[in-house]
Amino acid sequence: MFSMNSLLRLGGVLAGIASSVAAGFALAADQPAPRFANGTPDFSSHNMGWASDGIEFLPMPGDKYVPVTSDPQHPYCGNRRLPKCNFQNLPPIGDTANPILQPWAAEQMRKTNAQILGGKIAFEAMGRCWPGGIPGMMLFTAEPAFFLQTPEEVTILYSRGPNVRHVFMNKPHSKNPKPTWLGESVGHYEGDELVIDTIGLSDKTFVDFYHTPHTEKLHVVERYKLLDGGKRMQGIAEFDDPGTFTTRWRALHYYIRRDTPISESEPICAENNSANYFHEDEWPIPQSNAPDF
Amino acid sequence: MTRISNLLAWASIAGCLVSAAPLFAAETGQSLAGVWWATSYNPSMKAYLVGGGDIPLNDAGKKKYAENQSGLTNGTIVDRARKYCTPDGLPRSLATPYPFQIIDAPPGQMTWLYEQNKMIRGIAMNKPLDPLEKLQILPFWNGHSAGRWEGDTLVIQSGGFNESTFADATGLPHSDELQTTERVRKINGGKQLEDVITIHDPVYYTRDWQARFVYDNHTGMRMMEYICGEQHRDISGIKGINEARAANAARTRRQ
Repeated sequence: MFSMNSLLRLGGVLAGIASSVAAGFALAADQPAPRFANGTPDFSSHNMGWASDGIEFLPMPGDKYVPVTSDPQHPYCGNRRLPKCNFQNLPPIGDTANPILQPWAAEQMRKTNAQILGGKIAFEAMGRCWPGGIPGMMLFTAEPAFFLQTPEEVTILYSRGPNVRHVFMNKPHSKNPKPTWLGESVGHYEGDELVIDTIGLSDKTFVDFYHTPHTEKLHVVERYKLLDGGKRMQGIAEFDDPGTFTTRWRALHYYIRRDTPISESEPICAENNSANYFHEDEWPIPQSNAPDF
Repeated sequence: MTRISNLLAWASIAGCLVSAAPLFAAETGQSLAGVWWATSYNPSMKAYLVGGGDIPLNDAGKKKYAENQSGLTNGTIVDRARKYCTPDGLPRSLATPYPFQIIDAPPGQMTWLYEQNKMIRGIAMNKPLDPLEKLQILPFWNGHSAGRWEGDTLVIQSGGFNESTFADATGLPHSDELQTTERVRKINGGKQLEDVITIHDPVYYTRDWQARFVYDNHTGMRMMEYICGEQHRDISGIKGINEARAANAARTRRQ
């Protein structure tokens, strides 16, 4: 007899396989990506932004270890994901049985899950206008990110916040950078891919929407590649943080081009979120009790 | 409240833009790209006024300014740009004591990134700015902007501002009819950047007026994170900043 848990886990695995197969088809059907005159792939895709296709990382095909997904007893059902369902748990409840998690990380996530299931508010960084972590910020579906490319720097503008991330091209990392919300990112191109290497991340952030924690030793390598002639973008992130994870692991994600230039949008998170309309125990948004100047 | 003359002025500007050669800045060799940083700060726009004298407020402007100053002093009006770090809007953002970066990207656009409050200005290049009535449908904190080159000067026209910002840190008002024209160029052999902004807001001012800002070239310096309420870059070396902080502290104590 299969238990309900086993069935739910099987459902999750099948959904993961379906996503992976879909990813394989997308890669196989790829079209030439837009490029600048010097051959560099144009991630601005004609001044357009990239919106996350779902809030979850997908497993990398063939990888033994996979990203944290939803707790089988509290499955997250995204609007555009299989299987079709008519329920949704928000904030999503993470599966603390994922073997990539060190015991302390799983325990911290269990406490967060209990807090959410008890009707309390867990810290949702981007929901409260804080930076959402690297690359967690790229999982925000509602507001796109824009890539500005120059030979010296790739600048990623996250509409959520907004937040501005500077990726210094063809430069080494600093020795012991002070931990910050967005960390220190350096990058380079490898063929069609933009490779971004990030360290110096504050442990205030999570790596995903499941509140998966990390230490300040987290090292993230992201690889971005244009698909379907620039209509979609693929991101693969590799996580290395022995203090939090039992192994290195990778995550796959896709982005959809949004046909809105930067100059035609100005989302300001603090515009409507300074009041706590629904929960008096809501986390405060970033604010200053005394003017900076 | 928009007058026919405003419409005609904008139509004329739009005509010039359409007839201008539609070349992308970086392709023409013209560029203001780099990191720029003011050496001094003053909370009052009067300190930056071209030609000196007083800012030409009309009666409605004087009344609104007095209300704003009183509210900011007694705490009944919140300066959201400092409390929640929402955008400063124009022309206040030009007085920032923090650095900003100009990037010639993405294609067809110039992007200004202000470290303070993480403000982003996307300036569409060589496209006419929409008429004010259209821009006011979706007003922005920093307005909608379009730019073009006139020789070595970048001309930026902006309109469609919301009314959630002040024109300066003292509460100088502006309306949603605010329209600005900036003329931005490198000076002193590229060691400095000059931005002269013309303010057109007939709701609160008797005439157009100009303010001038100068920034030093710090290209190569890395921009830093700016999280509202957290420790930021040390700007204590900016002339006037300590006086502004002392005045803010005194005002906070009085509230």
